[in-house]
Amino acid sequence: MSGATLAALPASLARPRIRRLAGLLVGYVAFLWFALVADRILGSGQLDGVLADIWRVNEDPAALAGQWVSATLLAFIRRVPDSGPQTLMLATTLGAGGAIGALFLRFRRAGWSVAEALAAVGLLAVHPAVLVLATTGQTLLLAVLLVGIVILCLDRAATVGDAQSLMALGLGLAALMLTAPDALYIVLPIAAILPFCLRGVQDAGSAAALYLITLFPAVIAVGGILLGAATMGEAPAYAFQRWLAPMHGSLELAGSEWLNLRGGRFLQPLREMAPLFYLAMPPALLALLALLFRPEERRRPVAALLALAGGPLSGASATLFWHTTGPLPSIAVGMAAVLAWTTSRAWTRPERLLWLVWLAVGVGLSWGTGWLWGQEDLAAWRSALPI
Amino acid sequence: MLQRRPREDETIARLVADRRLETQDIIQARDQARNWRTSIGDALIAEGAISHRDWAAASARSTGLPLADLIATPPDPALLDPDARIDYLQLGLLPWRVEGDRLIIAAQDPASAEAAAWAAEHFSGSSIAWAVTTKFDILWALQHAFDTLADYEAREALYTAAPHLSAKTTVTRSQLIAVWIGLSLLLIGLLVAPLATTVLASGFVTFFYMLSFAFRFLLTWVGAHHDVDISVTAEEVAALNPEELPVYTVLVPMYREQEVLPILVHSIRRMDYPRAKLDVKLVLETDDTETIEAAKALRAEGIFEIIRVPTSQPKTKPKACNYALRFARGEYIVVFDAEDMPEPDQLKKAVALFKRSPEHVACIQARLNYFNRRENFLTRMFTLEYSNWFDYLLPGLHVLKVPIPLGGTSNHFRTKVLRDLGAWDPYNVTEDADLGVRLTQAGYEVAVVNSTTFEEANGVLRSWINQRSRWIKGYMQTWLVHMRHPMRLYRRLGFVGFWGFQFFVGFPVLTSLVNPLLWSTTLMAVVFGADAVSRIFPPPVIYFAMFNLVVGNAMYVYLTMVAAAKRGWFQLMPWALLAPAYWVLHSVAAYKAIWQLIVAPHYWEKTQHGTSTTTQQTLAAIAGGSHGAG
Repeated sequence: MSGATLAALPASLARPRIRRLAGLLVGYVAFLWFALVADRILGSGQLDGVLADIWRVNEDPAALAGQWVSATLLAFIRRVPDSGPQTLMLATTLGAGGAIGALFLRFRRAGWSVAEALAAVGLLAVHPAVLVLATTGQTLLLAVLLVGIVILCLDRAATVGDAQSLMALGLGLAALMLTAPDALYIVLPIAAILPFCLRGVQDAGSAAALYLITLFPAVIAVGGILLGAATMGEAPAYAFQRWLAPMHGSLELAGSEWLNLRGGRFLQPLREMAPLFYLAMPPALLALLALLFRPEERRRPVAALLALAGGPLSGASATLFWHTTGPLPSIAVGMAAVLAWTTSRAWTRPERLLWLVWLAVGVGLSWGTGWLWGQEDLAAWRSALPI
Repeated sequence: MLQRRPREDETIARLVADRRLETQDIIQARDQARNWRTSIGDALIAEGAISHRDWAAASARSTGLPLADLIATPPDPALLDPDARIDYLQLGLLPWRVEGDRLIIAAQDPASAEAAAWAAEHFSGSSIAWAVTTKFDILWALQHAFDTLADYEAREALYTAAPHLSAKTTVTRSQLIAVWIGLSLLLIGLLVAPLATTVLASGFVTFFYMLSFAFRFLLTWVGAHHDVDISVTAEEVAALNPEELPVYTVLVPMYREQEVLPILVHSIRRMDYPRAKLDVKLVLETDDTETIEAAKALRAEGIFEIIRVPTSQPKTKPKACNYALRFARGEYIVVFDAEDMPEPDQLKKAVALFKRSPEHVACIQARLNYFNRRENFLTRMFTLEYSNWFDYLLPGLHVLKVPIPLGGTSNHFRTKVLRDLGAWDPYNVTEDADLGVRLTQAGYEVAVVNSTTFEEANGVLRSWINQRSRWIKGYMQTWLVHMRHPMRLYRRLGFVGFWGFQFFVGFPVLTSLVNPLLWSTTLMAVVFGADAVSRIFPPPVIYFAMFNLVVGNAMYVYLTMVAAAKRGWFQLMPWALLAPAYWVLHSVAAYKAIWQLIVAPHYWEKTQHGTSTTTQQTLAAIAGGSHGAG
């Protein structure tokens, strides 16, 4: 569209188009940045083994372990001519770039100025947790993005409460379950609080009905895979075991110092993960302040509660059931929750500035201290970077 | 002799003197006439305080004008102009007879300036005298004079003007050739390369099932957004000025439904609309004497008119509506079924939406749902289906600009557009669905209004199958009519509209027919093992087929479940799990429909109303005077 045409459009029409273009541009720049980092990581050869393992996952159906969405994406990527394990890195950098662009748009839609939104996504792009998700070629990125989407849906179901928000929530939960079965640790807490946060709930009957709407797609998804496997000659029990495979923890236990020291416990990992998370993502604490001082936040507290505690709680639960190799996934989940909550609220300018300052502190602390880098693979990842 | 034109106050004084009117009635009518910008006489008649005939008689006596009884002394046919019928009806007059050198015009209100202007324009060289008559006399006289013409027009107007848009011919020659070629290719394929042909067919069906599912999902998704629910607000309705509201024609076609007549009259009385501006037409078949007598016995207010439709073939609801349309006076027109209970603000909402919409919005579809949803399995499933249809799919179609196949009743039209377009196709048994597509083809748009008409769900299995087979047959007719010139249709509807039409009108019918085959295949796989069917579903096809079987069907169940959410009818949600049993009934009806399409394409399967216990309770409540606004 030419500038003249754009100028002729009413401002209300022209603005969203410019905004979308800006989002695309920001996403593209973020992709370039992630690609630069990924190139560095690839050049170091530190992740070759990990990438090769992921690349081979489709050759061993048992290793799919219920990550059906990831496996489908992987199947598509493998069909790209001349693709190889490194292509995974390209996929995650592209996905992360897109997510940053989308996040920029959400910040702008939430009333943040261009400078503020750019600062927010800029700080996020240099956050080590985000960089790890974007440049290790792992499917965790997809799961984390879905967590963010699910929380947005949940917030919309709590505030708007229309049928579309319920469907979106149901489909989001189903997609999450199919992407990473261990997402159960975030799905179950959400399911537990569901009747208290949906708008349409008036009594036990309506609560049960809304449960049905929001959880039925997940049941369809899991049931569909089992039934599909059965029709193709595989025992449903075996398919179910496959789905459960990443949840027993034996593989993780073998190579995880975190699980060896904390596996099977809940409070201890929670005590350790919570401070780690708040130091890596200090704006999460704003959720506590909002819950304390904003009556409207208390009227729809679910997103703020998940932003405040969703990450550490899910991480501690996963540790209790012997399934997480370290705190990074729970930090990433918590960050997604904070971002979903932040971008669905209206903030004053001082609050936005406070949010940015706290995030900058979180980025500094994450790079500057050794808290995040205890795991062997993360230490190797970092050693490939000049900082 | 100079004639004195009647004055309203003199007529009222006469009626008071004759003790035919109470002071309270006059005061109320005066207020209403001021509010509605009508005459006091119209207000008195609309409220049932006085009959048309008494008013006309008093008016004649007070002025000395003759009272024209057009039933006893019909107008001279030579004076009547068929092209002026709408003028006669809207102005309430007609040239009656010639006495000496004077033409006598019989009019409801000879004093009106419009009547005088019309007479001066049409009979400028004649000496004119006036007589007083009633609206019913004019209607009766016009029906009597133009019965054959109106009946012919009702049956053949569309076919004569645009035969390619009429379902009078079920299948055209080119369509027959296409079907013959298609079947021949299939047969040759099955003979020469049976496996490859079967695989190709299964792949084709699987692919279109997936697209169909995706389209349904998209429509439900779009229709589930809360924005589509607020088309007219209460504030907009309140802001309407009663005096600016136009005359609204309400058509109620009925056949042997005398038992539910009180529901209809009750619903119309509850309408929040100036009664004097309601033109309600009970459209009854001439041979249906029971309903005609029952309608007369109701002694309803003067706004209710009986239109007797001459007996002729096809004996369908659209033909009856077409016939009645010739006598409609309203700027807008709506069709209700006899047992319908529209929400009282529906007409006002339709007017508000028409007024703020561009001229090309020619029709507004209100939502339909059922008042007897808890009666049995069928009524529950029917309610879920209708909730999905009217609360989600139609708004979704509207947002995506896909032609909307109108639902059976509560379609509001701009009367002029409806007339210009040839109105309903009397040979199509889902004439509303056809009209929706025809409107879109002609460049008009259909909107959906957030007002509901509650109907009686068909809860009797045999009757349900009959009704559904008619609907499916009508969809087949509609698809066949509009696909006579696919390229023309594509050009008029565009890519989205064209494919939306295929997936909303054409493909669901096909799925109802094909489903039993696929269910049988699945059953074979379960009983004899997957190997029994694996040859006709090779790897790429089987994945999509599995997706359709498991996820597609389950998601259809899910969409049925979600349907109840908008209205908060949570008790119905678990019933959605039984939707597959309901689909079996659809397939039974589909096979009946295709058989009827071949042997009796224009036969109208009559739906029996009044069977529901809720209907009986409502009737009892109305008779007892306890049925309120709900």
